[in-house]
Amino acid sequence: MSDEQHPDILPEERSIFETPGWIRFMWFFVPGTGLFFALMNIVLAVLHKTHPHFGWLFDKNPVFYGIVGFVSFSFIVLVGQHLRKIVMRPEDYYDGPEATMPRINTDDEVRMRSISLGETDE
Amino acid sequence: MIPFLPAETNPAIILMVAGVLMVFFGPRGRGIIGVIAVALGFLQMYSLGVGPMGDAQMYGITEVAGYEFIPLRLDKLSVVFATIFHIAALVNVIYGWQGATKVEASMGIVYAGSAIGGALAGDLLTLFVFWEIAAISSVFIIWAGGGHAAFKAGMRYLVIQVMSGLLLLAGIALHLVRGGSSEFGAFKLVGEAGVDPVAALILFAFGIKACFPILHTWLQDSYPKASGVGAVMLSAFTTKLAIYALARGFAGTDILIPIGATMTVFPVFFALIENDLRKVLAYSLNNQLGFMVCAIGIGTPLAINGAAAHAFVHITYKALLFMGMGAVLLRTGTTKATDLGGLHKSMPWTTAFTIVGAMSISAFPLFSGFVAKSMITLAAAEEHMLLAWLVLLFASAGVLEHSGIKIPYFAFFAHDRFAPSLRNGAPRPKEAPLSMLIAMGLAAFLCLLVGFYPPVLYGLLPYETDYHAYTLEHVATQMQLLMFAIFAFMLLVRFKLYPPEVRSVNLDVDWFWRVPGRKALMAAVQMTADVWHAIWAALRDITGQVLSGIGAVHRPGGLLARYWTVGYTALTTAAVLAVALLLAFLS
Repeated sequence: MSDEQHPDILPEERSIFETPGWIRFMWFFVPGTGLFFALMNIVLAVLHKTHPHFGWLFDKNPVFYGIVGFVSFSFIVLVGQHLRKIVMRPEDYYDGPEATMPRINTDDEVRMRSISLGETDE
Repeated sequence: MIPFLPAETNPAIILMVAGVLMVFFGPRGRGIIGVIAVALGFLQMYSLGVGPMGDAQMYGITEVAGYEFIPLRLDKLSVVFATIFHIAALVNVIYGWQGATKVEASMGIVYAGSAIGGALAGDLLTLFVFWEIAAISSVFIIWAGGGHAAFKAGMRYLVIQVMSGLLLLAGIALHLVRGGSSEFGAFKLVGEAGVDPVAALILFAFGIKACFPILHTWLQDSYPKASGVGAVMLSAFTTKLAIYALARGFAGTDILIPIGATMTVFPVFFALIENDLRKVLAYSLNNQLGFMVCAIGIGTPLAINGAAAHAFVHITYKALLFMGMGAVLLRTGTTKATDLGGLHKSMPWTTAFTIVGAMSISAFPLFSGFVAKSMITLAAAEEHMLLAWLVLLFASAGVLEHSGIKIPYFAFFAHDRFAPSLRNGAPRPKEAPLSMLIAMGLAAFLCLLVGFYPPVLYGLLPYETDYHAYTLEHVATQMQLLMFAIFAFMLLVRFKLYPPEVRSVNLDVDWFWRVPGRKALMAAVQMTADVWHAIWAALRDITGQVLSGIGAVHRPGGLLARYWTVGYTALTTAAVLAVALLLAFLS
């Protein structure tokens, strides 16, 4: 994945997905694949192999889907986060301190069995 | 026909009886009974035969007081739903083989049975009965999550579910009183005389369970409070039974298109800001139901096929995602994004299976979501519904955001929070137990099977279809949309525009009845008590005064109880005589 590495973990604790090489690969792979399929769509449109239902503003335009994907995603993330200003409350807003407790189920029967399987609660 | 069973045994009854039997067995016995019951139910259903649309196979028809009961109606629409309910029940049994409590295992199978019974019900009252059993059996699964929060959420869930049942019953009663057929067929919401209130009532009852906007909050409230195993059980049945009921009763009802479109959009924003990943999945479920509701509103054979196909694949990949999160919950004690990350290093199988679920729900080609969702968007385009089509495309990018990227990214990648160096050498969480991995593997296999070979799904659909998902155009357009959306994600993270996860709870419309509604109710209770106390106090005062007045008059020496002299008596008699004379004179 393309995130920055977590600074605190030791180098040997990193997996292949956290190496700079993998992140470089993703920066190449994702837009590359997108462009490949956009190109494919343009070729299909030139060959009249597409079946648009709406006009040039929409699916007649071969790169319409790429634009929709990019713009919709950005819109959701950039605009959606402002919803927090209205609806976000502390974790214990409804349920009090119970809302912040870890939720490991401690049904007696299951606990007995996990002990017998050698899987005690860590 | 299964030889040792009565000829017309309802598969739902097989599962329900098994669910009750499970109470008497230990975990392994429960698992074995569950697998056998699901297999028997499935064989029984297919041995009865499936009719095409409009020519259903019906069994067990009885008439009581002029009302015709049809407990079993098998046509393509009911059987595709009952089939996926059986598959979901099997996955649940395997997933909960080690971890399900007695209540969860038992009620899970009863709940699955009720959904199957509801889908196969041919008349309205049978539907109602299974509708209610589904509500009551599932609330135990929520309560089994443990803790006071789960109990309260279960109570809220129960109130809303039972309300849906009562509205349905009222609708059925009114429908029958005006001479409607007892068979569960299509209703006409808008006739020549305007909106039919009876049909509207029934639609409202279905809409509660199908999570229409504003009626949806029971889902996000309750499902994340169940246990890891319980949430998987819950994710499959209630809402999809409602989708089946809508497809049967309200196909082609125009109002469902804007309702469905709204359902696909608003959860996207709530899922973005939500910290609890199982709650993200609950919002995602709501968004997926929107696609189905929208398709039912479009109502063409392609759209209804799309809705049924989407329900089918959705149950598998949504269960898969909930199973992945259930495994994370089991191993780490939380599903909050703020506390997770880097789990791919110690839970590789869970990671891989969850990614299969995420790619399926995002509708990547070769995964199951692609072959179903493309039918719905195509149906909207074919009907030239530009706005609905645009909304569905927008929502597709939203699905990718919350289920395709957010779930696997924050749980298994992102910031490694379980590195031994960060936790004083504590070991990383272990991989999920074998039974969970088998169940996840089974669901992942189904996602890939349908994705690679769609005819296995298309053969089950209500209407004959020659739809081909894998045209170059479909693949190119969908991949374009997805890859550019992922590119947007990478840019947003790179430039730190992606919102960080925050420990929080986000309000939804249920705030109105959980906070001000509760206060108003408590105020009404207090006011009633106060009014009653005031009335009681006033009554007591008046009674006291009357009694003391009577006492004053009648007590020894009181006005009426004391002795009078002869003179007073003569005077009184004279006064009475004077009045009598006066009256006689005047009249």
